[in-house]
Amino acid sequence: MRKIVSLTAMLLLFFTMAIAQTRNINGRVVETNGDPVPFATIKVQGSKVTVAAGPDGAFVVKAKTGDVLEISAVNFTTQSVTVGAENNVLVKVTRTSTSLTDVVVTTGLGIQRQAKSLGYSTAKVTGNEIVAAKPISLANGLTGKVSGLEVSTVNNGLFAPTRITLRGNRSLTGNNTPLIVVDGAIYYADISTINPEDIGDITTLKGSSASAVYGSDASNGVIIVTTKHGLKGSAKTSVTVSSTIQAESISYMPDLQTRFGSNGGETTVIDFNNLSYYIPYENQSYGPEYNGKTVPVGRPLSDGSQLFLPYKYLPNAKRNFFNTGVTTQQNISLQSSEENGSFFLSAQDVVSTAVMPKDEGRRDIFRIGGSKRYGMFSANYALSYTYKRTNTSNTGAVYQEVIESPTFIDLTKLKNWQTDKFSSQDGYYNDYYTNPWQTIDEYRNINTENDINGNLQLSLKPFKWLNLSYRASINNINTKYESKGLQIVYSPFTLSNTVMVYPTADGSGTVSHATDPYGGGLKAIAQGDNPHPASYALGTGNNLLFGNDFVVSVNTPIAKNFNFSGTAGYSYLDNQIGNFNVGANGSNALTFPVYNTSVYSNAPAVTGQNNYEARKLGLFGEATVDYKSLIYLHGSYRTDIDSRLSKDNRFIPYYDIDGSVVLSDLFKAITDNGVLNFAKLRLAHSLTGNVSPLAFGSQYIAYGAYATSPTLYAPSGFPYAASSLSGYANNPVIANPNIKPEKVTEDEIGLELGLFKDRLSINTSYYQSKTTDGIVYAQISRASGNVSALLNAAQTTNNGLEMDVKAVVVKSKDVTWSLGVNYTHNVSKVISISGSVPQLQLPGANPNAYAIVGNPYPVIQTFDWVRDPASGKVIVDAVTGEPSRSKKLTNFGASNPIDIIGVTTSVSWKGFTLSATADYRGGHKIFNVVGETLDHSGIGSTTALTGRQQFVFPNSVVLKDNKYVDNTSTVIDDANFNFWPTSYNGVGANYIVSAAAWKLREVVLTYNFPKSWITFTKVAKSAAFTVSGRNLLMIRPSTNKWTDPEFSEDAGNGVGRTGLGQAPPTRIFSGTLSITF
Amino acid sequence: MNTLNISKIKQVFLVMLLAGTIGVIGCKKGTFDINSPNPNAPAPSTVPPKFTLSAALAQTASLTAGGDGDILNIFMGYWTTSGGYTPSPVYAAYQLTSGTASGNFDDAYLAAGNFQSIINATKSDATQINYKAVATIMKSFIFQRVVDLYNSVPYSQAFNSANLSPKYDDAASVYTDLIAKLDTAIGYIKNAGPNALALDAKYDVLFGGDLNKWRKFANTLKLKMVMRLSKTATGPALANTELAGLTGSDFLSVGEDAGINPGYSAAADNQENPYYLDVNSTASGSGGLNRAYWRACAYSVNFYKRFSDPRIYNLYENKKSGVWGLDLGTLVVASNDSISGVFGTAYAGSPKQSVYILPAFESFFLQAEAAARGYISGIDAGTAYRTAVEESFNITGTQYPGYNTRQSADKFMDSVNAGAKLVDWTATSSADEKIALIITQKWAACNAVDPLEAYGDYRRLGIPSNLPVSIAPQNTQTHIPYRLIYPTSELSYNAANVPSGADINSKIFWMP
Repeated sequence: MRKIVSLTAMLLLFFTMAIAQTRNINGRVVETNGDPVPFATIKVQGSKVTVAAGPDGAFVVKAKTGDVLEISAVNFTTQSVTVGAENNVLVKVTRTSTSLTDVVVTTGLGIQRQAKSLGYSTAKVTGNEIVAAKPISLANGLTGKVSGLEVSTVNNGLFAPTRITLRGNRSLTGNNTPLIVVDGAIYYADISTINPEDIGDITTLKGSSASAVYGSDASNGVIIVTTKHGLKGSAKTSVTVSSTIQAESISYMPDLQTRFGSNGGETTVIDFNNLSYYIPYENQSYGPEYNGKTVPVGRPLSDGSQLFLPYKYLPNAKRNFFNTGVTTQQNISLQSSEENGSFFLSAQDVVSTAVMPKDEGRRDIFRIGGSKRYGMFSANYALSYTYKRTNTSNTGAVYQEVIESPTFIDLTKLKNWQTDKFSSQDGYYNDYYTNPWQTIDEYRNINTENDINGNLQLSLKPFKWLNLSYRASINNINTKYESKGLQIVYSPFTLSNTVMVYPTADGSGTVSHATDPYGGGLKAIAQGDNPHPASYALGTGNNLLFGNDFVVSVNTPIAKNFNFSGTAGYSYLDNQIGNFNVGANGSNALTFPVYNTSVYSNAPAVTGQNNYEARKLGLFGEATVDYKSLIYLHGSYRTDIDSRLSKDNRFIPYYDIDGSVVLSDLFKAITDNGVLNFAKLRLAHSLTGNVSPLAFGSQYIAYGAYATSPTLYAPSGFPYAASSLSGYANNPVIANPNIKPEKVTEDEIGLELGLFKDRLSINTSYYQSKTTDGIVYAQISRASGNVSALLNAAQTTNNGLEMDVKAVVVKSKDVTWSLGVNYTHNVSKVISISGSVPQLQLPGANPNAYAIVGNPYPVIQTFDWVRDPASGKVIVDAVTGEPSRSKKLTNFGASNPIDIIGVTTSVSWKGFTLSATADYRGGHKIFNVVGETLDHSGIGSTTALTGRQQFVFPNSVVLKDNKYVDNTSTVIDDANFNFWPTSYNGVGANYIVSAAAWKLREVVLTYNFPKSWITFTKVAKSAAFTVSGRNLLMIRPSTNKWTDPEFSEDAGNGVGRTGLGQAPPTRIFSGTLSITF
Repeated sequence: MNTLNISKIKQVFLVMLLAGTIGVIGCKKGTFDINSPNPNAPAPSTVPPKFTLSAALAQTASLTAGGDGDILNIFMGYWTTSGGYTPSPVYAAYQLTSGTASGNFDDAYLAAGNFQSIINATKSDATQINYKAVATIMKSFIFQRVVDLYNSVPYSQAFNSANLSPKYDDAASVYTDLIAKLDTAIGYIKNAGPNALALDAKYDVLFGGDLNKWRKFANTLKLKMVMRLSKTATGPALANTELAGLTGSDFLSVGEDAGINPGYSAAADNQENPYYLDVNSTASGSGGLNRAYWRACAYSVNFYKRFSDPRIYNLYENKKSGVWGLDLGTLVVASNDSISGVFGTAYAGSPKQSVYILPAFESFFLQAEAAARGYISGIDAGTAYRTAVEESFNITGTQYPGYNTRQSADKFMDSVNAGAKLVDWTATSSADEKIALIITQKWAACNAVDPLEAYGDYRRLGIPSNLPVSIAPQNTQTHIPYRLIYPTSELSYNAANVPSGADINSKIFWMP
């Protein structure tokens, strides 16, 4: 503390001296289009006075009226300006060449630096690139565009959630997603609450070197979002209005069989190759082949009526259940600038319906941002409000009800369950499932989110070499969820109805039986669950993040040819989370829909009430020294005082040291051949940390607040309702007061090349990172009285290669064609978990995700067939021909992609621009649990591969004379109901396939109307029309018959498994009209 | 632009600097000491021991009556698996693994750990001596159970968060210490000073704060452990020493069934009596977790039928055609429509029922055996036996029409089975006959409520002598397993200490 106080006193002294000096000229160097030109050199002719402009183009130079200022900047023509009476000058310079490597990058803490000075890897994506195909979430706009960045859309629900990782996973149980920083402040709300249209640009700091200055939450890289803050340059105002309409429809359904209808094993098999009888109320399709004849469906109703349908395959019976989702997007924004400030205002309204019937949502985002300079003072501010509401059904339940419906039944005809007797709960044909239309209507999840994000930065630049800035920011995320399920009461008739109507053997008529002769009984769902209890849950949560930081930046020459820039400061975070949940279930169930605890006796009980708070203070400094802008050496240091850790562990140091050499400037000769025009080599080494495992992987620091202090908990059953008895037992997890952050060390080397006057640029990095002291909840001997202990025990490594190649393939007067390819290769490995523990099942929604020592992380484990260890072939029973399931789990490999390739391209011709993004992910596996359901119900195409006839299990062996020999003749005796849903679908291995896929993510065609067409209006300045498509094409290996391998049940670390919760993938088309005034 | 004057600039600059420095200095002492205590869960030091007592007793009930005790009902010929399922390798072929019924180890330590916490928390506090006493008794109760199932187990180094891989103690030495600890606990109760707080009746969900019953419970438990040692070399001598001076009034007496009930009800699955949840029904009324799977075993059904024992209807589901069982391991396919379930009216009749961890009948059977063996004086073996059967009829609510439960027991012994050497005391003559009678009827009484006690007697004395092993063709065992396998948790997380070579044929130290 004392050092900081004396530092400020010193600064004050300098400041006072400066004020006493003579006249300063404030100036800015801008491009002809108004964009600032950073780091230009300003020389007063005839004197020794030389100053450098800042990253925003601003400079202050001592001069008098009549002096001539000579402004030079790399890639710009040198410009001269004569000083007049004014104190402010605006210098416009013209670009000589477009240098891809000489851009300005926003780095940690919002500090802008020249790309060539960086010793670590960054990538910048402009706002325009992100919004090209009008994604609702900006994460979708980043997909495929940057190496090292993996964006996965984990399902296709309304406002589909995404998971972002940079350079893979480092922490076994912690958060592996990057920190999101918006306008310099840590942003806690989901990335989807940011309006993509508000983005100026996004910089990804891929490695931990770049992010080390963020301390203990920095090991996963940082995504720095810079929002639009109004126009730069001279006074002007523009207003842009755009309107987009999108249509979303199912693109790929799982492969389904087309030949067989209803039977669920009701009959005793008489002849294995003769198929079973048709059963009218079945959810399973193990029945006879479709014959086109009319069959009774379901049971006769109380009025004696019976539904009849043709027994034939309906090609789109399931696809037609889903809607075409329509999303409209309205945007309006105003940007203005004046001499010393800028202003930005925007609003976006997104109204969306999904492919799932009745699922709908709305998102509205308002933003005000701007900046103002008052001499040496400046202020930057932004305030945004996001409202998001979704009203959805239970996707998993509905999808199951749809998929477990025979393919001769057109569910769209059974929609009116409230009025149509054959669609009602009592009359619906399926004995085992509710009519999905009823489920949709009676089970609703309503999620509402209200976010307010504010950010105010005040800066003072008393000298050209000194900048002080203070920032205060706030994120307030307010969420509410409500889930409602109505009670279902079946009629007494349904409960006792045993009548069955069957088609006669020749299909010519029907036979009615008073009781089911095939062993079936009453309507199963009604018997098992009558009344089906209502359910209700309501939860509210508030997540507040308050941050403030203070940064002092210095930029000054320190000796001939040496320049120094440095920053020091602090960053303070306070995160407070509170939530409150009520619910009613089971015997507490509501018998009619009333959701008010104050007026209904069977009121929902409090099911959760929690408050969390954590605070963190980081003290940091960073410095760069450069020699003639040729060699840069940069280092940063940070220590965090974290309330979540015990006092002894509160000062954990993090650091980065990196450097770069601009080879092309240092050895001019290498550029002589005219091929190479830029070359830079960089090296970086860093140590960062991660404390998020304490928060069970959440990025919110507050959730990890209480992991170090022992507590008691109320064990199962407590408090007992009947006796109002409380009880507290030892927490099964031993709190660890000595827990330390995980340590991540990372080494990185990179080479950046510009060729053919930057027509071709290559940026490549190799990195290796190692996590030690990984925090795990390790299982321990129960004789300790506990189940697990929080330990610093795990070790993992990551090795990877990243490459970004950008080329301007064609550049002529009319046509510009640019192409970019990025490649990512990342291999993670678990070195150890805890002592000799060989594996760890990951917490989360995917029970098949494991960390296994010596393997990538995570891997998928499930059951395989029993195999002959020698040949690897499946062993089948010598009599039945059936294989059997192994008793031990088999490791099927990594579920994160090892290789990712992204391709972006853009062609401009006159007013037209066509751009596209595609990507490939491969080297990993996906477990399609939806396949288990499909084969259970006999809908999956696999189940009909042999026409339900006896077959020899492929690649199998059979035991003969104590030896396994290839099986050529022992057939599976019943290749129908007694194989697929009872044996085959219980072996997870059958549903694990390569997750490799090429995807055409975006195709965008924009037409900018010629100025002449627009200007006549006297109002509009420009207008453009855009049509785009997203997820147009997916190319998968033929083994993947189910769904999009990018989907995941778990949105956390445990990727690699998709189930019924992920409805089929979709394709989106949109059209946008945009007018700027 | 209008320029700011210098003094104003200075002021603003000062304010900014202050804001910056205050931000740092404002983080005064204590700013980062906000994460303890946890506002969402109590710190151990703030919770009075009664709250831990109620929780640990409820955990004990779940341990003895939850699904992991089911396998002991299989071993003892009370239950078998449904004829509608494929024969289970675990139950029908005794292919026990480290995952089989591992809650008998894992959950026992979690429950005992809470009693240990009470002992630790009340260490030197004279006002809490009664809590320390009952926690000590309960710890002995749980460890006796663990040793009876696993032999050597971690004991002296257990419950130490600084030692996550505790060593295993010799089983005999654990028993010795458990018996000594019971004496110590009884001493605590006897010698509690005037400042000692009474147990809070509400939270003592075993005896409602009745310390005299706790004392009797401790003595009965000691009696039980001493009897377990009867076949060891030093057992008889130890029994004479340990039981010296104890009389009938020192043990759980008529109607004093030790039953835990924290307030069981059908409000939710986890609020039901765990045994009821397992074999009868869930809170929403659907079938209990293993209701369809456990069926009556033909051996015990035939036994009860042979003596026209009316308890059969209170232990097993009465089908239209009566009670029917299956042989363990049979290949006969029999649907649940024809074979009785194990949800009689006795212990699985209501979700609100208590979990009996030491029923009064056991107290009397133990006294009868101790008297018959001459381990204890002043107790008449025949009278104790008679009371034991009466208590068994009482706890199962078994009645002949027109008779109350205890009268029904008398009728069962005196008239229905007069002269039967396995029922009627007066029909027995030799000491062996008397022991066989006592232990056989104890086996008949322990059905479902305390199969571990019957399992202990069977391994110690081989009674009932014709208890069948599984008839499954895959079964290669010639006797019922002697023990359970150490759990996966120990093999994975305490591998260095687990005794090697322990399989289902390794004997518990007190077995002959």
